[in-house]
Amino acid sequence: MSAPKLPVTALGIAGALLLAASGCGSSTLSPKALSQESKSLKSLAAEGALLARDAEAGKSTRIFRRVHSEYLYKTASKSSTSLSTAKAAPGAAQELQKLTKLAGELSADLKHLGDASNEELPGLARDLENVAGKLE
Amino acid sequence: MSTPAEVDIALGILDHQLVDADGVNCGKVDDLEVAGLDTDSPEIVEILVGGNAWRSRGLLGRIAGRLAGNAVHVPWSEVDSVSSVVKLKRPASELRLDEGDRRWSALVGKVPGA
Amino acid sequence: MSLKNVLAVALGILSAIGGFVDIGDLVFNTQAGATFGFQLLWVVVIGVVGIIVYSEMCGRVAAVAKRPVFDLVRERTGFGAGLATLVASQVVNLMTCAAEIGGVAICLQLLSGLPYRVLIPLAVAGLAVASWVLPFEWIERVFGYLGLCLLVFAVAAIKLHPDWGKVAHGFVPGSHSGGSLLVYLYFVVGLLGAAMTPYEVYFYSSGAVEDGWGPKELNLNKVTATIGYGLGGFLSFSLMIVAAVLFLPQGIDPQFLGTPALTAEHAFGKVGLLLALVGILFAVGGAAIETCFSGAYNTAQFFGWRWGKRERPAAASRFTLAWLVIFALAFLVVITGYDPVKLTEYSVIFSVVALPLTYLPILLIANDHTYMGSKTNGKLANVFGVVYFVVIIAIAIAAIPLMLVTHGGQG
Repeated sequence: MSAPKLPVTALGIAGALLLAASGCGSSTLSPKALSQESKSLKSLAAEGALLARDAEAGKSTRIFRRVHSEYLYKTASKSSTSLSTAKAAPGAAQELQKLTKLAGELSADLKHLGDASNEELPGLARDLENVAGKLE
Repeated sequence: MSTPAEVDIALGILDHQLVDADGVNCGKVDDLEVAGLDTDSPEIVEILVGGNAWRSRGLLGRIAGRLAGNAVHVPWSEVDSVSSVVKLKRPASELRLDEGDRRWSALVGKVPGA
Repeated sequence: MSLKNVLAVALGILSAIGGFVDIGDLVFNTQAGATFGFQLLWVVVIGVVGIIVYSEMCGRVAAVAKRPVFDLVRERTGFGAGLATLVASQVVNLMTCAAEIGGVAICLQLLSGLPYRVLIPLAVAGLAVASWVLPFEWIERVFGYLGLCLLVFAVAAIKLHPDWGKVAHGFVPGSHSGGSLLVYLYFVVGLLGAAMTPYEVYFYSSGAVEDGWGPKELNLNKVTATIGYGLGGFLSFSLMIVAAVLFLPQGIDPQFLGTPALTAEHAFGKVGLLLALVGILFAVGGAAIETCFSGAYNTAQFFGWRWGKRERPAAASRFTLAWLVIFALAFLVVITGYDPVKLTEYSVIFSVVALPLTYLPILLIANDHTYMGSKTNGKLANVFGVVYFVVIIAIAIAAIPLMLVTHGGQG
């Protein structure tokens, strides 16, 4: 009887897909890749800080601040998502943990920068400068 | 046209700009019909413009030629002078060389200010 | 010099500006400054001299032979070479035009706050209407004048107090410090490519014929090419310097079109920001029109059609359709949502690969007595022309490998 073979084949395919899916979306990050990620996050933090300081000093427009911080936020958020599902190469686990945490903070700060009130700007700028300082 | 040197010059006008009696662009010399190449007095019979005149111009030309319609044949007697451009004796419309722009001008003309 | 002549020169200069500093120059000069400080300033000089030399040749060809350079490519280099040049230039053109349109939409977004996706069709429509309605000289003037707002970057460069000694040092070619050699070379190639992009010479050449240049304009041609592109080079220096002062120390890697505007904002506040954004909008918008028309000119000139803004649109209907179709195709590329800044990085590098195909015919035609009569290249033009051609071949070969090895300058 050929019928019983079908479930076995189906299970096999499902199993293979599951394995593939679990491998998808999470990559193993080498120390070099982590260093690149760190540089990129630092750049976003520093740029956000610059924008925040300018806004605090009344140098920016609300529209520019909102739109530009949105671009910064989207990039940071993408990094944050991929870092949170990534695996670290041996020895880099601590660094990955640190970056994941900072990326999360950075994303939140940048999102906030878009519509922060004038009173909130100095605090935000300081937060972003701190994040930048903690990254290489 | 009776010497090899003169035939060289004739072939040298291949790919040159065609300009009508009013000085208006009307295509390029896409191909030439030359008669009597193996005799003492070869002569340019006509200029081929556009369409499948590109059949003889290599692989890309063959592909392009297949996609296009028929070429326009311009008798050599219509040529007024040959310098860096080939000037014709009559306006492009009389030689059917303006069909390309005329075909599309109806569409383009629909936009105000055309 | 009569007032009429002064005005003619001024307008010529403006036409060289509106579109010289395009999205490619903005991205590469700002990134170069943020990565290597002042150490790549000398490359901009080389690029500007190159475009001046070749534009002068193109302008001279247009004034003497009364035909643009691309018009002559097919008859001078043959059908196959002409077609190859046409296809290559159209592919690069389309990428560049799409990137510029994307840049216009981003600028509009930074100014208005409207969504990017909505602004893309608005940008294309605006550019198409401007191209349709405005006569050629007015396109030059509008985008040229308003593109001059970019001078805010030059003033910002001064206000931000760079170390002028180090700036001067940056004009001397030599070894660099900090950062990989390969990334440095990638930027050398990119900066040269951005300065000498093919559409610039095609547009300059056809534009000269549109403006009705004749032998009387030979001096105007020299002045326009030199001062116009020279001013463009000066703006490129400014972009690099402000990025070096403000971004390099903080480790800011410019990835967005709004990033350069931060320097003008930091130096002058809201006024600086708005001048920067308006300047970028019109410079990039002017470039969008120039790339689009460049493609239409090349197509029409290859096939021998009637062409030019000076003709009624319906009379030169195939030329008109060509530029409308190019805008439409560019629109389709931009609407995919692909990042215009990343697209620019690719289009500049691919332009570099196409440079030899562009510049060799110019050198040949400018030396050809059949077209030029007694006005062929002098010794100086030929020495520069040949030296630059060798440089162009070298960077054309190195461009794609460098891009791949350095992951687009990321190291």
